Amino acid sequence: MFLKLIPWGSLKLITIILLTISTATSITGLYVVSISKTLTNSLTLGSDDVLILSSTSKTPYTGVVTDLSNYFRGIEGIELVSPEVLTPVVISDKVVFLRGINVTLFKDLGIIKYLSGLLPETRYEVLVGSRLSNYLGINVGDSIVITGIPTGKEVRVFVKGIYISGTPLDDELLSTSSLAKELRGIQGNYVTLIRVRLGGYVNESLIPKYLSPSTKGSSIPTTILKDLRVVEGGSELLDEVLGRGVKISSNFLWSSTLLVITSSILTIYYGTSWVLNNLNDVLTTLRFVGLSRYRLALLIITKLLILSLTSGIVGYLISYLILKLVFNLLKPQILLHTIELVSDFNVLTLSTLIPSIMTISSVLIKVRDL
Amino acid sequence: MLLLKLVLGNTKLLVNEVFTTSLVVALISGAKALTNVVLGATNIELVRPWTYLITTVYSELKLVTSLWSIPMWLLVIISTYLMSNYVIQDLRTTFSTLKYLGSSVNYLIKLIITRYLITSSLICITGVSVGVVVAQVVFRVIAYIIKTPYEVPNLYLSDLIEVVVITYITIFLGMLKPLVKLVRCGYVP
Repeated sequence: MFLKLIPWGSLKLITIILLTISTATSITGLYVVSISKTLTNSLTLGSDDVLILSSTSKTPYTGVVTDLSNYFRGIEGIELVSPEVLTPVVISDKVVFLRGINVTLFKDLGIIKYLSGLLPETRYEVLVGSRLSNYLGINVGDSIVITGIPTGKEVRVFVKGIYISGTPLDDELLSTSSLAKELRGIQGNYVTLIRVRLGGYVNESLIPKYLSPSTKGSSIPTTILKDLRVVEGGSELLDEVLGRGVKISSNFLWSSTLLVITSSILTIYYGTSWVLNNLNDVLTTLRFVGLSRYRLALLIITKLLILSLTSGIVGYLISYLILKLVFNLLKPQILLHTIELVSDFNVLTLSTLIPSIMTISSVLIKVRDL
Repeated sequence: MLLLKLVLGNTKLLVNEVFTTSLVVALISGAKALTNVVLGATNIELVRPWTYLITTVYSELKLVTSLWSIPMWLLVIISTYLMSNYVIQDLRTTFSTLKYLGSSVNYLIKLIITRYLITSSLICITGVSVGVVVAQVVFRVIAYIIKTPYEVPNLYLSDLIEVVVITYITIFLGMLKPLVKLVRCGYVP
């Protein structure tokens, strides 16, 4: 009854404003979360795995390290060691990543969940990820020409099989490491990264210790050790690799959504003022019949709070549906991996609560004029 | 000068109108400038062999930014619509007086077009400048934190044209309904 004193119809403009701001905030937040997730997943690091990369490289794709696989194989408790060579290649004008691996060993890691066809046996045979094969229309038995971007070398290869991993690896090609090295222009005993699968005996936090020059019996020269860094399983990989410990994904989520809201702060303020100006006659009457300024402020705040919270939730749902449609139609990619839309509770909270707080603050600023 | 005073109305309101909308334009310009950092990386000697990869990632990022900017442009329309409602409240008396004094509808439309062009240009200039400056400050801080070499974020001519054209279109769409109301003042009871 109390709420009916102000008609909902008079709040049309502020509803449109709040809905647009919540949608804009949610779309920004969902974008950031989805991109972070895609970049994080692109390392495809299981909780029992450890990655060893170049300490100077800004991404797990770009650096090279000395292949220390044999050294790690000698450590008790380490189950599997997979040296990998990553290189960007061009297929039919599209850039994709080719991952040079020991195919049998890689399959033993359990990353490949399903394989249609056979494992590559020779240098010029490759496996194609299921998403990539759909995207480029590649089938088992096809012959494709790939060009290594760093070297410009062109090679014709045969598609031996198509695999499903359920990870961003499905956007990649898998080949023997010798082919990847040739296309990347790496010679000798170098790889891009070493993936280590731990058994029950070894705690992953011990791995950095094994790489420490002070470890007794370490046979690795100090110069090589200085170039290595360890990324442990279960860690936030984007923050760990690109951010060097700085929480990039959550900071970026907060800063981008706050930027959207900050840029629309004046719109919220003027929208609220517009509503209050338009309601001037109603508010004056209510004051005249004895409603206190406090009760009046409470009435407006309650009404706008209901409106902003509802707009926040509806804006989030609209954003999710729009992005779902857009991602399905356009399949946007980042760092060559298809962006998968993820829902996120933090985005919902941010896009609902912050515009609500801004709206209430605007009312409180204007309340003395009531 | 008198014409300008007539069409622009209250200076404080004009500043508020320009600032409210240009903040959203600044956000879009800033995002576009930040996206261009990726292409700027091709100037760094160390990553030059990866140019093809970088340009591909750049075009992917551009698509992502363009898709993201759609709801932001909607926000520009909404915020222009809101501010135009304030403006017509202020200009209604001026326009009614002009009409009463015998000004033709064509003259009123001319005044409105002049106002639209002035405010849109001010929003473009403020929005783009603030956006690029903020992007540069933000990126320098990020680059310092993650200790990476960087190219300063900037807008290419094509981006600038895109931002300016879309700003003019969205502001026109936002202003349309309130301004039609304004031209009709005196006719509509």
